[in-house]
Amino acid sequence: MKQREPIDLRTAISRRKLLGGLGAATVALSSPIWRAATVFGQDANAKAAKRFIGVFSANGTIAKSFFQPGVASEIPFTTLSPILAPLDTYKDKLTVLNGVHMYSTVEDTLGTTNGHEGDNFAPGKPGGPHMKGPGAMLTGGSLMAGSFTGSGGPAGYADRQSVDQAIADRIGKMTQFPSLEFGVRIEGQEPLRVISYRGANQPNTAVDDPFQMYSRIFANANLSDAELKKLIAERQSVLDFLKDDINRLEARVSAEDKAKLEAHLSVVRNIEQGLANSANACKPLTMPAKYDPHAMEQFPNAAKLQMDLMILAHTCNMTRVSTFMFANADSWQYYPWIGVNEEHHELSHAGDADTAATEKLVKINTWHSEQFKYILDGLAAVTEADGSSMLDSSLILWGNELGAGNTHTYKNIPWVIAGSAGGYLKTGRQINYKDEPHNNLLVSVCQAMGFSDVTTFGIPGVCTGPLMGLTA
Amino acid sequence: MVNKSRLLGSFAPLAVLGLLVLPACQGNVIGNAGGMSASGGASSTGAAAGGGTSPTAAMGGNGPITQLDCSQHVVDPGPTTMQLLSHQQYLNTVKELAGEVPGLEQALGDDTAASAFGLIQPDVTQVQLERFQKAAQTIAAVIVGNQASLDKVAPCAAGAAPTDCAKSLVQKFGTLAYRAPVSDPADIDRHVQLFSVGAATSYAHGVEMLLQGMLQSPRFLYRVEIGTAEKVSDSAVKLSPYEVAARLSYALWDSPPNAQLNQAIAAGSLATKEGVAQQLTWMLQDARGQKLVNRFLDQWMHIGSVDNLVKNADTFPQFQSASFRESLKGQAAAFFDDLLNQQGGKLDALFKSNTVFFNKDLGSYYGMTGTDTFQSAQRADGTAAGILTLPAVLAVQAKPNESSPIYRGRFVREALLCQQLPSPPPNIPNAPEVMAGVSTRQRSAQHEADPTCSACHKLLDPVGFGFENYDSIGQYRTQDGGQPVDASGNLVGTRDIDGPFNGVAELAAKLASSAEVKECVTRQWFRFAINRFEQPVDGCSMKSVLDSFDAAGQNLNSLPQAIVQTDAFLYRRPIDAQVKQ
Repeated sequence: MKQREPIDLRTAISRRKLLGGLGAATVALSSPIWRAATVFGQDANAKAAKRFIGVFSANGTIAKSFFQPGVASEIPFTTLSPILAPLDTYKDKLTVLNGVHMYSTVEDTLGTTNGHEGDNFAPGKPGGPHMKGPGAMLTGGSLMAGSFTGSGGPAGYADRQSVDQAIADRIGKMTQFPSLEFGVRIEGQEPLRVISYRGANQPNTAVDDPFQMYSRIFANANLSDAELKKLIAERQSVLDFLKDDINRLEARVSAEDKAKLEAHLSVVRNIEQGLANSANACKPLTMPAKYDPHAMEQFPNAAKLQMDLMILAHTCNMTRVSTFMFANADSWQYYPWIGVNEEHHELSHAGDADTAATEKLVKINTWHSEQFKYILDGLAAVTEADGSSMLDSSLILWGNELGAGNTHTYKNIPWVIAGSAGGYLKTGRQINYKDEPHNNLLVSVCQAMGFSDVTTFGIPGVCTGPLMGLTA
Repeated sequence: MVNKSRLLGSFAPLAVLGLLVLPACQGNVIGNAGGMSASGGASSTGAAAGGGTSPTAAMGGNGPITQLDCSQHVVDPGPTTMQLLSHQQYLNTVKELAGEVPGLEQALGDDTAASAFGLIQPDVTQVQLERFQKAAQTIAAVIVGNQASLDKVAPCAAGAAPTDCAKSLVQKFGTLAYRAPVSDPADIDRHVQLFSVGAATSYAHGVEMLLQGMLQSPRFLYRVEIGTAEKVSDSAVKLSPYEVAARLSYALWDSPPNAQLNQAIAAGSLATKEGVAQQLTWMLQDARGQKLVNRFLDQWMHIGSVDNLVKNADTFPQFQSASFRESLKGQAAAFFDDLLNQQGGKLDALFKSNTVFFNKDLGSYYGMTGTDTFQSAQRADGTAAGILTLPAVLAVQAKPNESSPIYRGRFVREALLCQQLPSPPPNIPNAPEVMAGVSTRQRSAQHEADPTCSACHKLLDPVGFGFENYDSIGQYRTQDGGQPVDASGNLVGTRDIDGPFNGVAELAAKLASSAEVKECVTRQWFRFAINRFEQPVDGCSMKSVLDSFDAAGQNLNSLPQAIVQTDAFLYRRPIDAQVKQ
């Protein structure tokens, strides 16, 4: 077996070190690391690289406290809604979408279910309403039949690739990780826990333990260059052995098993890519003393730590695509630190007339806006080589599995887009659509990321092209 | 962008069978309630969405079939898919190969929540493979970490050529790790090449790298089956003796073949149906075999879900401690042990047993004072009904602060009757307001009043109401929301036990007498043991399990014997014609 010289990697690292030495602010050594950072590995002459971040929070919203009142097709922001108020600093960089529904959860062709509220006799796709949402949010697809029974199942995993992975396929090849999936307290049955899919039945499960995530992304941070070089060479030999092994095995097994091995091989290649692009140049943040990140009360701490890690991974250019799940769909999280001592899902079932419960739900959603702001703060503080901020060059899409918890509606999902994807989007407003499928939003996301060839996404019958009126 | 879903055309017909969802709920359930054919529930949604055939369908279907028909016996073992070792199987396999490996569980990370019996197996994820990578590195480091263990796994006499020693390691360790002989010279060579990369540093490091590679090979990580050229019918071939041994050991022990099974391979004892049956006797006497049916009951009843349960801290402070949850699981295990070993293991007792177990955490359930160990007591007052009143089961099938007639009704439908319920509609009307002083049952009243709810909820709530004497953590109660509990219930849509009942004791009697339940036990067992849903081609395999179960007086202990004699267990379908053997 030939030992491969990892020449590309050495070049990459020295270039990064060179850039650092040329006066671009180096990444600081302790948390919060991005405060005065410049994106690693960027060519000073190039336009800032676009990034995509998908964010999920659960159990729907309270529409009247989330959306701007009024029916005009576009409402420029003067004051943000109560739930979005914490994002006031960024109101010029936000787009809120009203009237964009997740039709793909209920139908394959627009209009076939007459999917009106109260029309309960739509052909049932697998999965309860909470379960359908996460599988559809970024895929524009739906869940396959299966035996997961939580939250009104039964259902399986989603039936196609999600938009973050479609983007990673195109822009993720040069970074250590094609994408990174973060989360905090993701519990419950599997389809409730996943928004990112590499393909049908290929959940890209998030890591919801920041300590695990840390060791995952900064595994080699403490090695010397020589140690790292040897380690990379040896790991590469093992990966070469495995690729060969898989190829040999594929020739002997059934078509079905071969497909499984192909999926396995593609993951091996991802690991290989990470190895080739791995570096010890970007210093990790200092982690706090270990605690149990799955404990209910650690939710805010674990969330903040994960957000720190995610922003750092982008700042260090370890990835350009990530997702972040705040709990899982159908979340049973309590929020005692904001005075909500009931579990979220149970509260979300309360009727509209229950003002006490509604107030608490607004509190929960507002708290999530504060978290979203923390991500934007981190991105805004990073200056790209071309002088823009990382927030400007990114597209951050925040969605939910439902429009509202008490009706379980797939309509009027509280979509928020932050950033303009490098000036592509016209921001600072709410756009009121009339019953647009969210597949169209996913097309727009692809186009905003620079893939103008993408004209449909997800289930074709519920996609009619990009959303109108989004661009600058 | 192109949808990457894999199109597995050859399995297209099965996809239809997976689509067991109804356009609407009309009082029907899907499953074996009669009157529903397999195609009756198929609509043009679900896995067919987007034009792709679901890979899960190819994995062996997604839902239960409706009819079990064995009128035309053609030997067909049904589809078999390569299975990734489960978390537990991985740990057991490493233990057999390398003994205790400190730090292994940490390297491997947490087990992810599996579907019922792990029947849905998604493709491997990057996080998972990174963990397998880390685990392989950990195991290899431990093996070469001291001379004694290195000598044991990879002995190399002074003066011997290191590559010869490596070759022998590949053949010996490889046969165990891959559960198949490694005999192809080219294959051995490429292993030795990997060894040589590390051997540039030292012999031990060469072994370490080789082990890292072997322990990340799909031949180690998956249960790969290829079969032999020996045809049993047009749709069945015999398995190799290594594959038979692996099926036996993973099915009965959740572990890889041990030395005795490997001897049976060498002796040619696994070549016949009778030979396979003979292994069962000693394998079931093994400590792991003795726990087989217990493991089945544990998974069937979702006992493991206790770990992830959230209960209201104010109402149930005791539930917040890990030891209490361990006690709930221990109590279930103690009950299963007693049921299978002391009470005769009959299906009847599964539902009707009056025996309860308690320790110091759980004594309060029964007004007793417990100790550190579990003790049993008899409850002849109608408040104990086998698994139906097992606190772990009741707590899993409940909400954080209240019981849940819906969850419990669904549990009876899905787990005990093997019926598949349609999905809830997309837009559920506003839930009833929560008010103090109102019982859970009263709050569910809207489900009956509103016709859009009642079509489905009449299948659920009236069954679940029978459990209303048990609160969110399965404690017996006579009052709920300040009112006397009404535990009257009603069953509809079953094959043979429709009608009213009052409380769990009467429900238990109904379930214990039902042919539909009996059949469901064998369906669940099939899923557990064969790792996929039963399908139309399994009609004869299923019938033989059912007949054996009946012949043994519906003794759960007879299930292992029944399954290893089926076509589904003994054979596999031939590899596609175009694939070279």
